[in-house]
Amino acid sequence: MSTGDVLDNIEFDRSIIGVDVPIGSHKVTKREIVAYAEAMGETNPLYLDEKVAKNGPYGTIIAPPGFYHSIRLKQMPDIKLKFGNRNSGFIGGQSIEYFEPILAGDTISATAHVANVYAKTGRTGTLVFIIRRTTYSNQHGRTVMIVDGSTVRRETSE
Amino acid sequence: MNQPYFEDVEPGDEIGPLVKQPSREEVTAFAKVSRLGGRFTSDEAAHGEGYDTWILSAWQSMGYLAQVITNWMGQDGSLSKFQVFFRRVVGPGDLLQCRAIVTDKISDGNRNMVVLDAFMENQKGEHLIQGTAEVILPSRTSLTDHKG
Repeated sequence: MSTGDVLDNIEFDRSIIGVDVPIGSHKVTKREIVAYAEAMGETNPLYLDEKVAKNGPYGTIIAPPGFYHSIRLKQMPDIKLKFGNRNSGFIGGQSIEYFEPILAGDTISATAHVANVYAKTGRTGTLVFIIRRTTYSNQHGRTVMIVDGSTVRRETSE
Repeated sequence: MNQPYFEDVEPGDEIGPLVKQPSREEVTAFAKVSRLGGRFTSDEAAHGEGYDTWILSAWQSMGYLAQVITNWMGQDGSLSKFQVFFRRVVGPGDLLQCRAIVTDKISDGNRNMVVLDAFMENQKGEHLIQGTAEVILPSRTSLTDHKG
């Protein structure tokens, strides 16, 4: 059951919904990609082996699909939700559209906005879902990926 | 790594499993490169957040699920969409199997796309992550296919 009425009674900053803000940029190094790939137990030489990657489709090492999360950026837009507490929050899901890979040496810039906030009430109480859209672009001004991430805040007795 | 071609793939084809049993050291190593702390590196922090012990970050779990797909699609394949929903927490000692199954294939003349259902399950057969993916594969009739 989705309940707009429930959301009406929850305090958060509605003014930032839909407002896209820059959250920084970062030059991605080969070392960062390799460290991430090794930590993930990757074996794909496109992520790990410069010699193989050089002769591959992109001419250099590329980042695995989940690498974006490790890019050092500023804080995502915060709706200052007064509901539950941060420890009651969890990641609900991620929806990612990839347009081109992140290459070693790319400078990745990102903008983000809160796309939607909604509440659902079920057997375990009320959950508030916050959907944020982050757009990552490279130094050529091309969008490399768009990520819609949902975080969920659970009602707590505190 | 064998390169799959669009013509060779059919709905119902199974991909994987990719088997993982992440150790404490592997979880810590991932947390370090992702600059994560708290419940992913410390039992004490995990207790404070209501967990019995440290847990795997959703980003690491998602990366494993992506890995079974990228391992399969070869150097000339590309992941164009990936959607995941996190169902359950992954904890120490969990034996994880990442799998995918081809559900559809679509060719629009420019791109040859394969649609997948993907999931990660634990040793109890519980689905921890469920998702879908779209992968662009090269065609045997056009070996200069999409690289993006």
